[in-house]
Amino acid sequence: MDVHSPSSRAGAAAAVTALLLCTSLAAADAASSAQAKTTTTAVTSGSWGSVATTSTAAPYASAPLILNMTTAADTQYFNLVNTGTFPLAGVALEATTSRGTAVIEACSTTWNELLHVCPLGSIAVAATSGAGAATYAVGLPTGSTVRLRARATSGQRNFTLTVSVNVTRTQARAASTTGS
Amino acid sequence: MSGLATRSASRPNPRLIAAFAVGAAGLAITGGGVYAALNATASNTTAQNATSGILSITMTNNGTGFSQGVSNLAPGDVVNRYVTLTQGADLAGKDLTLAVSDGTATPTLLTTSATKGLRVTVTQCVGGDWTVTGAGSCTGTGATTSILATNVPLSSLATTPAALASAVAAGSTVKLQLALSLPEQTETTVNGARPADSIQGLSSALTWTFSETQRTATTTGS
Repeated sequence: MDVHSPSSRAGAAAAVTALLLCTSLAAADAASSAQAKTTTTAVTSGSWGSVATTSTAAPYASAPLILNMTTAADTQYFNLVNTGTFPLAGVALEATTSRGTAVIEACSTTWNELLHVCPLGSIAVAATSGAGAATYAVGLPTGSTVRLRARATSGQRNFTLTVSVNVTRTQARAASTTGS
Repeated sequence: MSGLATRSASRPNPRLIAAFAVGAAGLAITGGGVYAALNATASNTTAQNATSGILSITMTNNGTGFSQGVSNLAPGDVVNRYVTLTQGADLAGKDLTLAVSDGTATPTLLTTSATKGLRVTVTQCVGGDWTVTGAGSCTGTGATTSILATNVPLSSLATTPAALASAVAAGSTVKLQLALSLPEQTETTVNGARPADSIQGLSSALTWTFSETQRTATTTGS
């Protein structure tokens, strides 16, 4: 290509002019605006949830708990764990059986799991199989655990008891307004 | 004789050329002298100062401001943060806007969802200052509040900054409350598993940017 031809020189001149124009416009724009910017601020949302589990430490499976009730008066213990970041005022417990019936019970003190008694306390039914989901009003601070008992009540054996736990937004802490 | 005549016609006489050169130089010198003699100038004896103004806006935290993160938000929560904008003394500004960007590698619903995500309401305390605890209050004799932006989704502020004020006077301060909120919403966690498109357990890294342009240019005289 002949860069010394009149058309090439004209093109080059136009390009230089355009470049200078762009540069001067950018400079003018930069000079006529101002900004004030924060450093990065982390914002996170919390969570609410609970699981029924026989595990004693995290991680906990995100699945219903299935217990095999092998004897007519089978009694088993499991944990109800607050796996979210908010304290809970309660959960919805649902017990279903493959056949037969069972109840889920809570002790107001601490279970004696060898003798199957609630020493110096009272036993409350948290859920009954076949009754659908029932609200179990128990205060569960973040990361806390409540020990529950599943007990076969129909005299049948060799069936499965499935324990599901639902937590709704209203069972987690209420909304708040804060400032600092 | 004929040979000499031919040579004179084809080669100019050097003495003639020298004479012309001397004459032209003399004319140039005398001509320049005449031109210089016709020039006249007038200038101010004291130099006139001319300076360009500086457009600046700075932000300081009022209370903890944006120096403190916000964690563990529940739907319905409102978190108030306070900042003070100070306009530089030189130039007034106009078209004050607020933009928010999320610096996380993969922004979440917190900053991408207009319905589920974070929102902000910007309120100015005029003639007073904010009490920055709790819900906050604009205090001071004759102090009033002015809402500059209402419940704006952060998802829109990344691309479309919110217009806060049409003019900012030089040297003035703008005392702002930024109420960051997470809309109330219903979600049920089943056996520890969050529902799809859950607002729970999400993170964002927010940068808040206030921008303005210089006041409208003026033509003055005196």
